[in-house]
Amino acid sequence: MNEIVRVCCIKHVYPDKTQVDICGLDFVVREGERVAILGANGAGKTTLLSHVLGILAPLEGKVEVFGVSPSKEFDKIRRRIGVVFQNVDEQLIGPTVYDDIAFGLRCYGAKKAEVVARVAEIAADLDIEALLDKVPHYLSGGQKKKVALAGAISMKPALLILDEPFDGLDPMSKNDMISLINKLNARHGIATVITTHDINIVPAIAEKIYVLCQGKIMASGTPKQIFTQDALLKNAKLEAPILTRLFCDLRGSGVKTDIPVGIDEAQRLLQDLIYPHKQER
Amino acid sequence: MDIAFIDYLANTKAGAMRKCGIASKLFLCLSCLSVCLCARSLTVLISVPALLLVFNLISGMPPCRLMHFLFYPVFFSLAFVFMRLFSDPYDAAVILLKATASVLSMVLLLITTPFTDLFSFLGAFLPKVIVSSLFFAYRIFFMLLQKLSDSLKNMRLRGKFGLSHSVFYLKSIAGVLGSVFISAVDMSERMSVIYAIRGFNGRIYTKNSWRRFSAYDILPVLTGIAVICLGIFARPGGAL
Repeated sequence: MNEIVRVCCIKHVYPDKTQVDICGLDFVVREGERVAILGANGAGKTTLLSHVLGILAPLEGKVEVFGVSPSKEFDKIRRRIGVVFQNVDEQLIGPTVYDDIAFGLRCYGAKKAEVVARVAEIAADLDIEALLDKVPHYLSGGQKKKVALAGAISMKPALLILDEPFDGLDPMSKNDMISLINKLNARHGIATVITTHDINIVPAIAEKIYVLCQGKIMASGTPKQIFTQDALLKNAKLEAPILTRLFCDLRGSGVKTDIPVGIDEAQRLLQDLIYPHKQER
Repeated sequence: MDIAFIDYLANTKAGAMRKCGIASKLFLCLSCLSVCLCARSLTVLISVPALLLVFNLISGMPPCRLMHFLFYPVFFSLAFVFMRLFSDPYDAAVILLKATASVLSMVLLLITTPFTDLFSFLGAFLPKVIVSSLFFAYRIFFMLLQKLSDSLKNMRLRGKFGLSHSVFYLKSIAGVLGSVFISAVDMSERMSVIYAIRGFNGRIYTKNSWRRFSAYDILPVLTGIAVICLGIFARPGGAL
């Protein structure tokens, strides 16, 4: 898989003289990959995303997105990037949901028939057909996030960046968003970069994790590799998902079991523990 | 002031005024506005707001909401009249009616036209930078109003809201306004990036072309012409 994002040891100084050095490992995203950035508050997650989006220009280091520097040549890549920020109100532009999804398409000069077809396709994909004529101000938080996501994917981006997309969502809406993001990744091969501190959902949304602590990329790996390193997580002021902790405790008390990171895997392991004879047969 | 409700009316209601092109609606509203601002005749200053009131009501504007929108201009024009110490009841009526007509014409335009159509029309004549600024200002205004209202609620909850704390209250209000201003700057920076990613290039493209004219445009155009004629032929003080 081709590399689409590479961030190498960048340095940024905010106007209040706060210096953030995102060093350590390189941050790399490949085509179609699902990446999660984990870190406590102030770890540098948003600074990293701001560099990837070209909102900030690094004082030192290198940021490459689709082979160009986003802060210098943003126009070359903007069509290939979709983004959903934490505060979705700021990114809902259209007076109706339909107009909002169509906004980017119209700006890039798509024909009317193409706009109609694409909006219908996205609305069906995200299950928001019933919202198309609604005014965004009166939607619920979860619906607004879905509409923002719809607007972000309207141009069929190759990279979708989501900054804390599950913040403020109830469990049902959170599950909806997770399945939508995974569906987009599976169906259209969109690479996703998600920042979150909701560790429990990470195994469901990412196959690669970067752990940030005080601006440093401390580790990267699969959810299993990361969540089984207790010391690393403690250093990064994070906790392993509840399932992982439960199975670690079981293992600590002498039960022979693997460490799961997702619900499916945990279910299988529990079945093996409860009905060991079935496994033997 | 629930500006989101104006957006809601503009985008969800049907009716003849919503089927008109933006150019004819703008012609009607601007002719009403300019005639009222220039007029000294009570006939004009009563009949034009009355006409606009009818247009607003048939366009689906609930009377209570309309009262709410009219409250601000009426309140401030009355304050202005009182400041002039009741110099002349006729002058007071003229000021009050002019303010009412201005609001009614703008409300009519906004409740029948999605804001993107309006900015798309302006974009055809104004430089990109001005249209972008107006567009951003309109979008940010919603969010800042919400922020301001949240901050004021917060002040009230923390007990520093009321006459007994008037000095502290004024200081706090200044602080709130300052923080809202800083938020506005921050927000506009973030929004400019988001809009750029979504393809915004200073022009707004909508499904309704402002060049479109239909039979529905006859009503606002003829009404606009009638209002202009009324303005020209009416004499100050009374009848035509």
